[in-house]
Amino acid sequence: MDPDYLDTALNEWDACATEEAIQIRERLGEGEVVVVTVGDEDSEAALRRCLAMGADRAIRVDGTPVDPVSTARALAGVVAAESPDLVLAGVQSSDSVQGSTGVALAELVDLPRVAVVTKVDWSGSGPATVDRELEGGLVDVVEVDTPALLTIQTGINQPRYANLRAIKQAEQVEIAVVPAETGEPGYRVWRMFTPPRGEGAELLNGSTAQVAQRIVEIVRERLA
Amino acid sequence: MSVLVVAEQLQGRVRDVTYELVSAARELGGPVAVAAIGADPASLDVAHEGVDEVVHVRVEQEEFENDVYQAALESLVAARSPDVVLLGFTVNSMGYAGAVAAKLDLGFASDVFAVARDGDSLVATRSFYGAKVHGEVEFPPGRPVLLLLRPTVWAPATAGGSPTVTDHAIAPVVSRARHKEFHEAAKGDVDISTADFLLSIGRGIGERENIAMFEELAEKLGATLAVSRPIVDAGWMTNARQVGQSGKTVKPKVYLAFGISGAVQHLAGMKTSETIIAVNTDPEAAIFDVAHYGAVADLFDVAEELAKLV
Repeated sequence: MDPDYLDTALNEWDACATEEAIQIRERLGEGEVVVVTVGDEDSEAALRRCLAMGADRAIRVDGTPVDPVSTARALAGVVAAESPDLVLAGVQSSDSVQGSTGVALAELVDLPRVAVVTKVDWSGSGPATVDRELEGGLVDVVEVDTPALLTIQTGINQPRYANLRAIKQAEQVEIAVVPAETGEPGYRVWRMFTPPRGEGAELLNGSTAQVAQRIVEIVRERLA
Repeated sequence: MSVLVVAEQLQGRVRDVTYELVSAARELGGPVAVAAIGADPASLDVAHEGVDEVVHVRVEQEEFENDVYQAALESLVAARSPDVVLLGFTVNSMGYAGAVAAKLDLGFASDVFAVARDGDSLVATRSFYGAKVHGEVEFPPGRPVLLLLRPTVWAPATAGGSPTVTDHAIAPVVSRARHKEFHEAAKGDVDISTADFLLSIGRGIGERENIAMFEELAEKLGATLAVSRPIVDAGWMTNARQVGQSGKTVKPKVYLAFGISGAVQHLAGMKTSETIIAVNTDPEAAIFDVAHYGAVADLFDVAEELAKLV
């Protein structure tokens, strides 16, 4: 595996979930934001970014599960022990795009859940009203009992940038580490290969002026 | 290999992905059963070519609610023990598939774009590491496998089958996440789905200030400006101009893409355009997989040259 393929940075969905959690705490004027991930030591950088954004505590579950259900199993113990009022997860990871870990986790800790959320309206107790983003630009407004798990879609907010002082402070925070219990994986990868890229496309070569000229020709021909 | 497909419906209309699932199910051999879950399952048009059996599951809720679908699918799996269960990789499925897989300990994978039989076992293909590699996965023996299939990959099964119809009763479901209403994400001043020529911009444009030059270029070229998701997420444009699964599906005569890498959800919304021209600095960008013409070049340089020519 090309090491360049591996990316342990905080992905966009998780950045939005973290931002949303911090905004909810700020709106309510109370509460605690705890961030948790599953991974090896390299994944702590993502937790530290969340701490620098304003999360209060961080926990790393030490393990490297491959599939979403195993990842959910690894997280379930911590989530059950913390027993939060809201659990926010990213809709999907940017590398695996399974879109399933959060909802599997909700089942394992017996929480109501809504997937692909683009708006959260919650007073801090009782049901929350959330927007669920459907395909084709349609929004489903859903009332969900709490405690609940929501998977957060990008665009719900603009994740804040941490300032230098916050980043330095986050480096000093001790991250709790707990062992993972994952069970049997839901699948096993038995072959990986690099897909062919761009085989069908005719490449437009030459200077940018020549490329632009060809584009204009193609457009005129196809619109004629 | 017995296959159970769960039909997806919105406001009483069966969504196209359901018919695509039927085609995938046929590839696995069948028999193919389609579960129609709803307040009036008989009204759902699921009897397409290749469907052997339609299973009606009557529930109180008119629209999708994930607790309802979860209860229905768990009951169907327990009663019928299918070898494979197929759902679309859609927002609805994402609301309950992972939960069913975790609870019943099923073999499970999502965003699958190819399936095959290998003797008695099933092989599914999906992407890993940000689509840089494809991987074939196999599943634990002796239990059903639940797969979420990528939409728009399989051709939809045509109308006109004559399946048997059975009823499957489930206990009423107390839903913890309840549908209240639908509304449009954004009302736009423009309908990108009817334009002949779209000039579409993505994350590659970098800064909000750069939108203006592409608005001008679109006007000069006689194109309608469209965008990919990151531009909408950043709040620079409304959802009305967004191409992709969560925006509009478009099929213009010409789709000219600048700085769009080609996320799966974007490609699903534009890959059937008649002519696709992509300009991107990254030769590995997935947009080149669907493009007819590709230029690996600086998009601002190309845009400036284009502006001089028209």
